[in-house]
Formats: sequence, C-alpha cells, structure tokens
Amino acid sequence: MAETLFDQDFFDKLNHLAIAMNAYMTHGTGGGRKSNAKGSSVEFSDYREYIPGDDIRRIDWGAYGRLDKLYIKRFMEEKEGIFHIFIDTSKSMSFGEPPKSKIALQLAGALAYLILNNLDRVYVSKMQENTLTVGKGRAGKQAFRSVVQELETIAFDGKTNLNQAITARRFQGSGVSIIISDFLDEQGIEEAVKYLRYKKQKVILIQILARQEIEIEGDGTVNLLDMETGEEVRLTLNRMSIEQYQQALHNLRERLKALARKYEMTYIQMIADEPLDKFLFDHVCNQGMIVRK
Amino acid sequence: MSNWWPLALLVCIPLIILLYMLKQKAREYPFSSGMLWREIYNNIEATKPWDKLKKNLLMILQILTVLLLILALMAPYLKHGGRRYDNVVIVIDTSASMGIRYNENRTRMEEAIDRACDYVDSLNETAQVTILTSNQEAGIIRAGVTEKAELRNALRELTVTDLSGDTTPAVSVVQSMANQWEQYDAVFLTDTPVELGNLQAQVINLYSDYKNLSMDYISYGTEYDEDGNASLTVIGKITNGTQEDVTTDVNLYGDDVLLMVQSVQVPANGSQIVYFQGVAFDGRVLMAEINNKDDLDADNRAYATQNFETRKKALLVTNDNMFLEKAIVNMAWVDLYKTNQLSAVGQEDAYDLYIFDGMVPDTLPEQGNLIYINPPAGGDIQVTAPIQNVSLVFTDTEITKYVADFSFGASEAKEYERPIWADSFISSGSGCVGYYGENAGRRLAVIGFDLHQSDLALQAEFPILISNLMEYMMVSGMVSEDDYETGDKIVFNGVLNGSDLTVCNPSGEETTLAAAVTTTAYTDTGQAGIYSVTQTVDNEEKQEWFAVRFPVDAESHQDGEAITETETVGEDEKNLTGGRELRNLIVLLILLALAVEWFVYVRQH
Repeated sequence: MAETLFDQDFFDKLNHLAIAMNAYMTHGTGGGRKSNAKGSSVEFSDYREYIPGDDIRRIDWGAYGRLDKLYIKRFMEEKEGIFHIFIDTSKSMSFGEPPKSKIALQLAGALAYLILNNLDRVYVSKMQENTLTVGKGRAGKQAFRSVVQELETIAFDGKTNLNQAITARRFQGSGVSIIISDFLDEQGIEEAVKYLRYKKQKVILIQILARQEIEIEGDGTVNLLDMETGEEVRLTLNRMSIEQYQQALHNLRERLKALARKYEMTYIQMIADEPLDKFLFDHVCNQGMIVRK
Repeated sequence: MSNWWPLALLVCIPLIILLYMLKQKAREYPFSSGMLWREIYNNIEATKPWDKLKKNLLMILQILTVLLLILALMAPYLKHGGRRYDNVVIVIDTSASMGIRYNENRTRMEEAIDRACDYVDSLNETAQVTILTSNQEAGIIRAGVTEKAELRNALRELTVTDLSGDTTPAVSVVQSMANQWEQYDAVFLTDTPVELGNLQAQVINLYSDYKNLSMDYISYGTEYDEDGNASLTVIGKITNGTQEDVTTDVNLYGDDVLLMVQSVQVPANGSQIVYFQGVAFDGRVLMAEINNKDDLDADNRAYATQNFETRKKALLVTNDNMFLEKAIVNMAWVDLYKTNQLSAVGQEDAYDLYIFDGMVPDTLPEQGNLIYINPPAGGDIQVTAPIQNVSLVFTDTEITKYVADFSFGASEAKEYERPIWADSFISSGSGCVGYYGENAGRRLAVIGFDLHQSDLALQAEFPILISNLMEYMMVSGMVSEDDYETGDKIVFNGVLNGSDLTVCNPSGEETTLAAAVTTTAYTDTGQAGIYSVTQTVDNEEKQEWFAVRFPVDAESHQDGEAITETETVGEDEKNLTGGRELRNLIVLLILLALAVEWFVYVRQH
C-alpha cells in the first residue's frame, strides 16, 4: 500500500531530509547521531587532563611534547537515534474520505523512511483498546521494506485508551516518540505524555482529522453513531449545533496545544486530504522536527 | 374579548408539538467519535435556560403564531376611559350648515363622517350601531348593524342637504330607542345646539368660525316701455355674515347664460339689495350668483322662475259693481270680462275665474274657479241665518294676508254652514259669513253680503283682499307658488284627468306623483335649486318650473358664540373613542412572528 503511494520522486525528496533531534542520544549502539557521551568517533570535542585509568591510546602526545602535561583528547561519540511511532488503530481512525487510517499509515511510513535513512532505529507500535503492540526495532535503509509490510498488516478497529496503551511501553534510554492519532479519546493523553517525558522522550503529537470532521455537512435530526463505541447520540444538525461542535473541536486543539507547551512537546495537526509531501515539507520542517541536511 | 370560541383552537398547540416530534425522524449518521457531540450536549445543559429554547425556536415561534391567531380571532378590545356598549347611536347632522368649511381641507360634514368612522372603528365587535341623520327630521340610515365595513360605507355615503337643521326630532328618536336599552352610547355630531333633555349622550361640536356671504333671494318684475317692449327688473338681497365690509360681484344668469354683472358692497353683519334693471330675458330661470368664494358654497345662488302664461281671464257676472270691477282691473295680469247675463256663462270661451255677484247660474261652467258674492241660498250653498247690522271681521287665513283682524260693518249679511273642505275667512263672531276652499279640483270662495251693503269697499283693505282672493283663485298651473324653501311640502294642482305628475329635482332625479295629489305632498325638497313638474293632459305635455330656496335665515349665518357656549357645558369634545380594537395590531405581530420564523429557519439551515 505504502509503496504505491511513495513514488521515486518523493523518495528523492525524503533523502534530502534528516530528522533533527534536540535531545542527544546517550544510549544505544553506535549510530549516525551525535551524543553527549564522549566516545571514539573521529569528531574532536575537547581536552582534559589525564587521570589514571584513562585509555592511554587517547593521550595527545603532541600536547605533552609542548606542555609537558598529559592531556586526553575527547571525541564526540556518535549514537543512533531511537524513534517510537505510536499509531492509533481505533475504529475512529477509519473515518473520512480519504480515511484517516490511510494517511496515518502513509505518514508513519514516510517518517520511518526518514528515520531509517538517517541511520536511526525505529519502533512502530499500534495502539488498540488499552493494549500496545510493539513492532520490532529496525535500523538501516534495508529495513524499510519490512516496516512497510508491518504497516500494511495493521487493521483499524475497536476503541483506544492512549494513556494505558502508551504507559505500557517500556523504554530504555531517551528517544523520540511520535504519536499519530485523532486524539478523540475522552481520557485525554496527559498521563501518557507525562510518562513519556519521564522516560526522556521527545514527544511529537500528530493529530489527523478528516475533512468531514472539520466541516460538518447535513441537517435535520440525526442519530449520530459513534464508530468506536457504537453509541448513538440523537441530535439536530443545524447551524447552531454545528457551530458548537466546531467550537468543541477548536477547544480540543487548544487543549492539545496547551499540553504541548506545558510538556515541551510538538503538536501538529494534519487534515487527511492534505498532500502528504506538502505536509512533511511545510509543517514538519517548520515545526523543527525535520531539517535539511 | 368579543369572542370566546377561538379558544377551541388551542387544541392546535399540542398538534404542533406532536408534529414536531413526528417530524424529527432521525437518520443514521455515522461519525468517527461522539465525544465532541456529547460535550456539546453537556454544554447545552450547562448554558442558560433561554439558550435551551434556541433549539426549539421554530416550534416556539409557531406556537406563538397560533396563540396570536387565536387572540386575533377573539377580537380583543382595549378599553381606555370608555365602556363597552351593546348599543350605539350615531347622529350625524346633515343640515345645510354642515357644508361649511371646517378647516382648509374639509367641510364640517367630512369631519363629522371621519370622526364617526373613527368612533365605529373603536367600538367592540358586538356593538350594534344605529346611524341617524338629522336635519329638519330624523332619518334612520342603518339600524342595529354590527358590521363595521357596512357602517363605514353608510357613513361615507352621507351627504349634506340644503335643509335647515333641527335636532329635536333626532333627540326624540334616540330617546325612544334608548328607553329599550339597558346601556347605550349616543353621539351627536352637529354644529347646532342640541337640547338633550334627559338623554345621556355625547355632543361633538363641529362648529367652526367661518366667513360667508349669502344670496338670500331674487325677485323680478316686468316693465314695458313706450313701445310696449317688456324688460325685467331683478332685485336680490345679499347678506354678509363676516365682521368686515365685503365687495363682491353678483352675476345674473338667464337659463345659464350670463346676462349682467353688478358690483355691490355689503356692510359687515349686514345686508344689501342689488338691482338689475332693463334685463332683456324671456327664458325660464333666472339665477343670481355671488362671485366671491366663501366657506359655504350652497347659499351663493338664488333662483327665480318666470312663468309666461301669467295673464288670466276672469268673467264678472254682475248687474253693477264698480268697486269690484275697479279693484280687479287694477291687476295688470288679469283680463277682466264683464256681463250681466247668466246665459253668457258656459259658452265657448272658458275663463280661469267666474265671479257671480248676487246671482248663481243654474249650470256651472265645467272648468274654472268660482267666487260667489252674496249668493242666494240654494244648491251647495247652505244659509243658516240672515243677519243685519253686524260687525264683520277677517279671520287670519291665506287670503286675508295683510288684512287679518280687520273689521267692518254690513247692514245685511248671511251666515253659512261652512263645508268641511273650506275655511272661514269672514266671521260675524257667531257664524261664518265667508269661506273659501278647494273641492274636486276647483277653488271656490263665498262672500256672504252685498258689497253695496257694507263699508268694506270704501276701505283700503278692500283691494288687498281682492288681490289676495284673485291670486288664490287664478292659480291654474300645477305649482301654486313660485317661492319655496328647502324642506317645504309642495302640493301640486294637477289636472284630474291628466297623467301622473313627474317632478324633477335639481340633480335630475325624477319622482312620479299621482294626478290627484291634493293630499299627497311632494316632500323631496332637500336640494335648493330649480325643480320642474310635468303632466300630460289630452296628449299635451305641460311643464312648469319652480325654485326652492336655500334656508339662508337658519343655516347661512349661525351665531357662533351661542353655539360654542352651549356645547362646552359638560361635553368632552375630543374623547370620542372609547377603546381600540387590537386585532390589527395582533395581525401585525403575527406577520412579525412569521418573518422572525422565516429568518430563523434560513439562519439555521
């Protein structure tokens, strides 16, 4: 599915993007990303005086000759970034034309491609009900195909409890958590966000909404059927009720924005009928998540 | 409220609610999540009560419309300072003075009609309204009508007459109506004082200050010059009711052709005679008209008719009566023939009048009026008692005008038994010595003494009496006078074996009267102007004209001070309306509600 959507031209564009991380990696195996840890890379970082126990191979003998003191050369250790992509796979995500689920998968695929292309590791997890299904951690460009295959198997059904699903994830070290959802969850997401921040995750919230959720059409009395719960809400669609709904939607977005500010997260909204490449270039770059090399 | 039955329509309100419930047949509307919608519901519950109403605003507006509709059908009536009346009488004065200008735009009559219409509009729906007109008499235009449109139409059709005004008959009619009612309202719209007596009524005084000149009358005489050519001398009287001297032109028309114009100055609150001399005119109708515009137009014209068959023939059958002969010959319009032979009577020549002095023919002529002087007893003349050396006196009758109560002596006289159709005009104190009257289309007078046996013929009153008698006797036309005032009852002297009489008023409306109209009077003389009367006798059409004068004395110059003083006692001039119908207002509200409903509908969809 994803392969047919991402043509070669689009991949070329993706190749010129890299994921910029504000957080430096301190954990994990060596990768293509700078870390606060001083290591054995070729990129010089600093000097410090030798103390017994240091690797004598790192003594700067030139400095010893000039200053008659032993100095150790410090180098930036390059680590791989750990990315977690959480996809909301509830039934509500299959709403809209095009369905939100489709665009969520395309977006996850595109992000995974960028991540893998930057020699980072990516975990794609799907959230359904209150459980979390964590995919394999993948690294290397060649892993993209298996990521796509994994995305293709995801089915959207049932409800979601984002808080319970995300807090079920066990993290080792810091990383970036990208949550792709419509966030139409009455429990909210604050608990999950607090947990992620506690786990030293940089959090990016991507809210996908269908055009039909923003611009309500139709009038008269309807039995509004909740696709997740199957509950019916009897209401009259008219100018007034639609305005109230739009106000409620606006309030939801404002709450998410406020939450993002509070926990230093990034919040991005995407409309399902928006072109994906345009979204990636315009919004994600502008939000500071992806920058040109 | 005038009606209560519309309350039954309240059943419509549950129906509307039911229809709204049925109307709300919901369709399935799948949506990603009901979370935000449930939030709206919570918001709605949390908002103010009137916000909840917004949801069903259309239904509420429709219920409101139905309620207003019911209210309108119930014909609500707002009382302010008045009562609801079951019976209402409106009396409109239609006398000539109501044609006087009330203000720049309208006459008093128009003002009265407008006020009456406003009053009708202000009445409750169930009020039974009677409309009366008041001039010389009271006329019922509508009785017990509740339909306001019909009442308004009836009021709008009322017009001013040329009749003089007297509200007494109207007060009597209203009083007799009011006696049958427990509660009522009576309103007089008039410009003359109303003596209400015990009647409870409102009098709306429509008197207004005005400036008016009136052409009171015109009269004419014929003069002959040396060559025997006739010309007319016309005189007219103009009265000025204003506080300042007025100069005006007076136009004299003959059969609608301008003959002469005279300028005349009329003193303030005074009168002036205008003369037209040497008027060459041989037509029918003379009219004098004041040129100046004033506040009452109807009295600016006066008419006179000229009858040409004025010369009459009289036959005096007497042995010798110089006094009588001289008295008659002095009258230029009488051609007197004299004979002492009774055999001359009933010959081919027909006379308008036969005077039998001391003798009576065996056979009376077929036509012509009769005067008997000292007739011998016999025939229709019943002598009750001969009397001697008596003092006789003229009683006050039509033919003793100017000589009534004059007494004279007679050495011999006869007392007669007065026929039932006759009036006595000479009395001896104990009996009738002379009588006159009309019987079977023929006029007859009897004088019960020989003129030679009396000093009457030596008195100045004698020629006056003879003149009166001749005028009475010589009327051979259908119209006995040529000077009537509006409202007069006119009895025409039609020929018995002729056709019915047709009377045409100044508006051209014709009325047919039976030929023998000695008792049935023509009463439709509400308009001033020239009338004509026509009868066909022996295939020959006879037509005569006569003028009916405007009642100048009564209507042209009202005493404003007297009227306003009378009317200000206890009368509330302006407060006629006792309430206000609310139906129109409610209908407006219904339209407003519908407009709001439309607006809300468009806005919601």
